[in-house]
Amino acid sequence: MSSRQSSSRSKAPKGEYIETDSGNKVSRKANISGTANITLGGRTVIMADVNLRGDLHRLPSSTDEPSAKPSSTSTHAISIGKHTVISPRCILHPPHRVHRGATQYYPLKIGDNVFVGPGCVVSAAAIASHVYVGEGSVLMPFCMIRENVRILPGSVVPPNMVVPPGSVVGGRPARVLGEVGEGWGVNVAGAGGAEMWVEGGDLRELVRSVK
Amino acid sequence: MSVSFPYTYYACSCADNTSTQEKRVSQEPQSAQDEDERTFDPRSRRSNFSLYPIEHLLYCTECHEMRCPRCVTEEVICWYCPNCLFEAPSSTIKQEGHRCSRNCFNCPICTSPLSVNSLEQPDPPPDDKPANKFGGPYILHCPYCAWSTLDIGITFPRPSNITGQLAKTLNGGLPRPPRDRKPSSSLKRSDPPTTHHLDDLPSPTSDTSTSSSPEPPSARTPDPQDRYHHLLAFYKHQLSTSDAALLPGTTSTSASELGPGSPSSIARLLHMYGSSIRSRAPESGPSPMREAATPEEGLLIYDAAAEAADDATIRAMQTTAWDTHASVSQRLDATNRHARAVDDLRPISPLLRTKRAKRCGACRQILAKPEGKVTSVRSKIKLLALQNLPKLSIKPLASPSTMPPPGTSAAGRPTSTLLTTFSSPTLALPALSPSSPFALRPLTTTHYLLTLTNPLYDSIRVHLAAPSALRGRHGAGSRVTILCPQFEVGANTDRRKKGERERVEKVRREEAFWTVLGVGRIVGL
Repeated sequence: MSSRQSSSRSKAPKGEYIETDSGNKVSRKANISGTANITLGGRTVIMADVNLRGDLHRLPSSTDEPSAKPSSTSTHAISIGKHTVISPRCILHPPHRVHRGATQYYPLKIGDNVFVGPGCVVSAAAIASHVYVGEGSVLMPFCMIRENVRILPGSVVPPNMVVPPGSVVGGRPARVLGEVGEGWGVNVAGAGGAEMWVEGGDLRELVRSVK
Repeated sequence: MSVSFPYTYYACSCADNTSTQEKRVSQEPQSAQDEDERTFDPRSRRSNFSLYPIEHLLYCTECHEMRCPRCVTEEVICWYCPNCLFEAPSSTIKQEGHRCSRNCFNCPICTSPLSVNSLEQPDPPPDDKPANKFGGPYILHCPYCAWSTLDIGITFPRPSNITGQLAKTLNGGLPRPPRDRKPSSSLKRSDPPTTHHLDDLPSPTSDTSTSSSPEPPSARTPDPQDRYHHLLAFYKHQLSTSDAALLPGTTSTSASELGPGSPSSIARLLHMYGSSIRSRAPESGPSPMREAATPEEGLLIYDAAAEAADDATIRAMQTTAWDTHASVSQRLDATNRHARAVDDLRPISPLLRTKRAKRCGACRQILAKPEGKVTSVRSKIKLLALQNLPKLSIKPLASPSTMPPPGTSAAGRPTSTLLTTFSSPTLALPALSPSSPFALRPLTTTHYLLTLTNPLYDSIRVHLAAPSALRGRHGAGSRVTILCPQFEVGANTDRRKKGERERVEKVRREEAFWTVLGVGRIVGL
């Protein structure tokens, strides 16, 4: 990502967002560390003041002994899919657990068409596609959000919780409150401008509208 | 899905008379007074139950009606645990109940999932095998509220089969006294036990009764599960004996057969609630079944001991701190409804969830059918109201300071609000709720934009109407003015892409005193 960033910096020097070759829009005000360990799927928006902690990646099997497999897969910290919007002031912090006295980090995966509202703290192990995370939510370490989930604003998803597909969760700690309707994410308008994007639907238009 | 202030709900007409609905649709709004009386009243207490966001509505293509969750019938496709996402076969549901029987547990205090932790000190043993690196006793630990089974004095020797280990242990770490088999043996039970409940243990001895053990007050009363098993055995025994008594061939009166005490109805009940029962339902029942009469048969007697237990509970409630008592929601979540103190709570197996197909309540057509796999989110059939009904969305048009004037095209506007909300970090909390600049204020006029999206391939004519004067507590004295009450929405033009839409924007103005929007209706097609 870092290479794309630098190459495209010359293209749009004035705007707030740096657009990469694959269409990712990363705000200049975002705080990104460890860019080598971050993957953006394309047409993904990272807004201002987002903290992407790519430096918190999984170390080789033990901290003290340099193992023979510092492979590329093990150093992935954050991977984000396509058409995902990370709103301002979010913190994406890969989950960690203390493993035999040593802190071990695990990758954080976010799928496609995920909207993460402003001011969220995300330490989930995985967020699947078509998920809407309301503003100010906290996804505690190692929770797993499955597809088509709506997380109400201000919820705290407890650690290790698996949110089943198609459910609405909320509360502190979050519990499953209901189900999203059958029409979750279905956009009648289709390619009809950014105003018609729906929660859980295709966020391509929203991404396109971000400038 | 709209939750912030200007939102749109659709009223399903399934609750009231649909014939008047039809009449209303075909009627021209010539008599406003008459119309007012018959229009949908969003303030009626009953209307809360028929208002749904359009995402939750289905559309029956046979009846040409929208179908809300109240007027569809549901069929369970599969049961699964929300925690481990494993499908539970329906035979397991019948036998073991509707809770996950794997190693999933929820915290009884805060309902978040529990994790199995080892109590062993994390001194790293030098072997590098990841399988058995942690030994020692295990506990269930809540990472959210730090509750653990240590609080109720339970540890597990093995990390697997927590369900079985938990069933064998009482709160406090004492082993659960083996289930009393005396009643069934004294009743000369003819059929073998066929239940396989989660905590069904092979119990050779039958000496103790739970009420005699010196334990906390809740444990002195017989365990509800034990009582349930006693009752089950008792009723099964009665069924078998009445079955045997029936063999001589007596004539039955229908009244005794249908009575609540007759063996046939109890057999039906047991079939419904219990597990598989070997004995066939008797054809007739001359002798009604009696109820349980002794504690061995499952009778709960309120005697001096129970009274003392109650007194002890009350005393404990008077003396101990508030947070040592289970809250109402904790008691409702608990499997043991008699738990009063926090110490009586136990880890809860999560309730299973279902995937359901939906049928039209009127014509039985399948409206939605998800795929059978638990983790799959696709559906085989999905007839959405979104694809058959015009979608209405209301947006605040103007807060003149922040919004562009109403003359500009609506295309870019929400985008711009989005950007003003999002891109400036100095906008703190007020910017977080996008509805706040547009909230209704007294004595100000607020403009709203009603957008209709027509998913159909035919153009529709739209008539909007609002009550002449808003009634109700908040709406009194305010007016809703619709600037363009009639217009046409063109057909969905793009036939290649099902979803392209034609949009007609109409400005709807509200003279707000302190008001809520009136309801516009769609008349005719």
